[in-house]
Amino acid sequence: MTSRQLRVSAIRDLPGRVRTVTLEPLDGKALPSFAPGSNIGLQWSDKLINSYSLVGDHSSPASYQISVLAQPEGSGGSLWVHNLQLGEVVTSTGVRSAFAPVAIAKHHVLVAAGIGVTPVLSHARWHARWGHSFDVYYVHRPGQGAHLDELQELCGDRLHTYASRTEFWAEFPQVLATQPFGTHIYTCGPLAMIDSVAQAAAEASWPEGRVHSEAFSSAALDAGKPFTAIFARSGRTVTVPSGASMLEAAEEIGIKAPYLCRQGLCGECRVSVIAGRVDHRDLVMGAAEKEDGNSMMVCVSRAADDLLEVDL
Amino acid sequence: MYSKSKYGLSEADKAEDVVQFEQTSMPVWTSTPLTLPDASSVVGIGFGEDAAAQLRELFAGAKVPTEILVEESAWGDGFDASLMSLIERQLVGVRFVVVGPEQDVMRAESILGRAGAVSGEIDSHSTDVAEGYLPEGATRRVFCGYCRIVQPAEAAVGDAIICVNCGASLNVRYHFSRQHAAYLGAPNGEDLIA
Repeated sequence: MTSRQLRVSAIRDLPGRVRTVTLEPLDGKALPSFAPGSNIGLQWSDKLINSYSLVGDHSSPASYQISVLAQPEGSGGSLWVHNLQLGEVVTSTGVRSAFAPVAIAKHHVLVAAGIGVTPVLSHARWHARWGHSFDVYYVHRPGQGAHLDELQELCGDRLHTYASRTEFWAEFPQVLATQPFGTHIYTCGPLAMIDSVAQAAAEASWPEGRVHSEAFSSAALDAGKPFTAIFARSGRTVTVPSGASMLEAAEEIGIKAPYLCRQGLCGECRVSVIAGRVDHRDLVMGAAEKEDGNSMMVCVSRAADDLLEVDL
Repeated sequence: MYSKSKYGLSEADKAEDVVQFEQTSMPVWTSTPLTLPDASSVVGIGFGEDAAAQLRELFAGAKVPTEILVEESAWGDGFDASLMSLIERQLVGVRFVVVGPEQDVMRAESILGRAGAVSGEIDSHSTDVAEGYLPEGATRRVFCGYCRIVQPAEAAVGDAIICVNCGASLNVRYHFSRQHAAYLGAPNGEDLIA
């Protein structure tokens, strides 16, 4: 993937420990336009790349903006962003689109919880520009709504805000029950929020194809059992111990495997499965795809039995 | 309106099974009983009185709101408007059950698709083919690749027909367009050269 050098050209603090960082191209060349809901990965250590939604304008942008919540309990990527200084140069991946609006939708219902507002803002910007039919449902703690001012300007009375999930759930089942045929729903927030929206949609007879989501954190995964991994292309066989991933086991013996998030969120590390059943633990693949078992995300998924052979 | 042509697939070619039908875009039907979908509401679309009767029987005693649209054909004037106005009244959670000849069912699916229907929202049943592909001799819709009109033809895939509109000689192909709800009639160029 094309990497790009970007310089920090502006820093702005938003409510709720969120910081917006503006990044300009170092070489002065135009940045590519992008689909709403796209993200870039920022390399914040030797091996680690975190993905952040682009919150700014998507058409011929002069710069990219990301908004990042400080998470002192996290693995360190968010604090790294918060420590960036004006003029500092960072390495980013190319733009990736994994949460785009559905072109044939007749109406869009956007649900944001907390910092999940970032791709929702990008969608709202797009829909407002093109005059699409949409509504935004934003759950945030009182006084901590990042980008609330911009959303109010873009959405007007199509913005519905809630100070708690309890308030949100008092209204949202009725929203699900009254959407015109052709509506699609998009949720970005913690996993529990995504799951409960999907479950409520299913209870209201929404087909899976109308329900979309983007998680910004993965579920806490257990260490898993040890198993034997055969890397067919490299002709190597190793034991993947409990607590280590198949990706780490491959890297340990010098196999170069693609990756980005290392959390089962982005889909970059997908490899073909040659033999063995997979215990899928990623948030990328759909249920049917997991059932087929033809590919897997090696950063989090493991063997369901004792052995797994993959094309690496 | 149609005739065999030397440019059509010969019986020998067909016997050799030169085309793997399952790898084409032709609609393939499986014989399944009509069942009431699990939904917030159900809309039946029936072509002909038999189809309408089947839908009425299916919907009797349904616990959710139902309604039925009965039409003679999906290709007549006014069908698009009546189906669209029906769709526009629906909410997400609805399922559609469509019953009738293939040419009408596929046309209804095409309009539903344009209105934003997704996988799992339409349950279609053909009354002229229970299992497999539409047989020879049945009426199918053919799209003329030359003048781009869609016409009915009692032709098998592999037959040649003469377009009712422009007179081009068309080879009825195994390419089925979900958008046009028609089989491709590929101009074989015979009359264009002459």
